Amino acid sequence: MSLALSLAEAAPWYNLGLVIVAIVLFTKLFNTPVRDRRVYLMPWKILFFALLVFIIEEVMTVLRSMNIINIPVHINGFFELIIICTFIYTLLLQKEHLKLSQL
Amino acid sequence: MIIWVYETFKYIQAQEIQKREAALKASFQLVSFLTSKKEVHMLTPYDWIYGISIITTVFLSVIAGTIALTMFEKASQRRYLSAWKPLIVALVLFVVEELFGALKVFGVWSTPWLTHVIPSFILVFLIAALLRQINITRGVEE
Repeated sequence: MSLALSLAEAAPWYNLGLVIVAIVLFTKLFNTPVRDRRVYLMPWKILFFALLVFIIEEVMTVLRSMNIINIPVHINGFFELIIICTFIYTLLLQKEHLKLSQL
Repeated sequence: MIIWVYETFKYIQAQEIQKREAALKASFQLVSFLTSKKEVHMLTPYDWIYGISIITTVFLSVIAGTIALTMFEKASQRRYLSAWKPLIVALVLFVVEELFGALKVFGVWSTPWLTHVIPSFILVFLIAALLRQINITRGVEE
């Protein structure tokens, strides 16, 4: 078994752990009082939404592979579309904020 | 002289026969190609929608990657934006994953790295960005 295959075998488990860590860190970030007024947290909130969509997609994939739900795989395309649109919005929002803060 | 004329005539005749045979063979191949029953896989409306959504995602991913890379320089210059550096790396990795995913969906190329390994790297960079952003928000990085 190659390195990539062995990593792919173990990956769902440590990915799950990493996702949990990311959620905990996001909640910590949103609960942290903002000391620096240049910090703009709105893009991070949108990014959190994208992470939640990603988690829903992964959960659906796992449930589908276990034959628990019967939703077609085609819906994954729409999830990815939502995630990428959210990323673009996040980046544009941050760019806009940068432009406004320079004025 | 008569023999030479006869030989030339025979040679031309042989060439004509060869040409006719080649033309006949080609037409036979064409007819057999047109009349053969090919296995055609009909795409369902779901397949069309899935394909279109994948192509759209790839297109938007390239746009997102480009925007992310243009922000990288600004993120390097300002300390309060330093959390965006690992985040941009994560975004670019996501773009790479989307490109590989599209190649896999269309049956062009597939790799075991795609399914879980690249998302792991994306998550690692996201966690690094979050840790840095928490420190910046608390005012520790100043």
